Amino acid sequence: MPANPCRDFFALNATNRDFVKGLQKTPNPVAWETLSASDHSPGPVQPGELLYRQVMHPIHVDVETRSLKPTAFDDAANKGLSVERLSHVALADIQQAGRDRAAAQRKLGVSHADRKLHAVAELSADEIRAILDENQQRGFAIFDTANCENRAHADICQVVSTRKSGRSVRSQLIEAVRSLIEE
Amino acid sequence: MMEPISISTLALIAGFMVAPTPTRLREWQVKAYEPPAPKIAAATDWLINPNVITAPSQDMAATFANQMPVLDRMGAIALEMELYGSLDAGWDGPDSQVPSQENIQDALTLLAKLPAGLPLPKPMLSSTGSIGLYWDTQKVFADIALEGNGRFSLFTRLKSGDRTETFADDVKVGGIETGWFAQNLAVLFDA
Repeated sequence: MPANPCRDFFALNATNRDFVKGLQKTPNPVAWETLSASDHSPGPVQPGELLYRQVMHPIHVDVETRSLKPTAFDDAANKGLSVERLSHVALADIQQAGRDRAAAQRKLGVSHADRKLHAVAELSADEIRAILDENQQRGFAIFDTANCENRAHADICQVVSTRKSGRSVRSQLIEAVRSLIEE
Repeated sequence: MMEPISISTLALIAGFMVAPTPTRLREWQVKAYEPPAPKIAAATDWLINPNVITAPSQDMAATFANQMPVLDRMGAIALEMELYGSLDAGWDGPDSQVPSQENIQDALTLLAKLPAGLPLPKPMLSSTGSIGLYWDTQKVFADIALEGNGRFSLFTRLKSGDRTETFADDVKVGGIETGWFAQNLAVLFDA
């Protein structure tokens, strides 16, 4: 089997909830987008793919503009922003999975009582890959981090590491939301 | 036998029973902010109603007995910040964290230092427990992040033209006054 540093990295960091920091320290993580990150994956995320992110708490939604707040996608800077690929799962199934996940978390106790699927945000892989910081460096890379239960799973990871660049690309990522489909 | 209740009496009772008219939110800060004394229980229902920003009550009797004040926009921002502080760990998934009380207080302190005439920011909270304030207008994006240890950072980005960005890092909350914001957020005055 040919060497695949992308798959090796994600296998090594399978339980690391802050793996993006390590990814930012690798020489050229953007180049790994052409490699598969998981043996369960149907293949790397292709140009033109649409990605959907479940929004599970109303705190992330600005009620006046019905848009997401800038911190809604902060997972991209630490544990990876989980999204699902419309090429490999139907939107209705993504929404139902969100409802099921919320229901499972509500059973955990009072502190999770208000967990529910509030919306799904639609993003374009092309637009995410077009986000640049002030130094014209790519802000995010997308990896096909499928698992045995979800072959459509992917992670959007912030690949710039300075605080200023991070803030710049974070604001652009929120602006890249094409639509917010509320429940 | 009781006397029938007159129409005018019914109207008077009905007047007391209806919910308070939603207050039109003020768009601009007009005076220095004073933090509200009452702290409400963790509840997010009011967040999803864009018109009414009174705190929820258990029942009508409680509403009459202990009516929360109708808040202006500044009060609503402060109340949302305080709501962040009442969340439990795991509020946004298994790894999500709550903000520190120190960072909430620092955010409220910064809110009080914003100059009059500046559009008011909106509060935000990440699943890592980081809190901040942000502005998102047609011309400008700007945000403040509370970094801990009494410090914050400020980022601004023009949305058109040369898309100029600015970044002020490691600024002491206690080390700046209203004039600092007037200078560093000048792009927002005509945004």
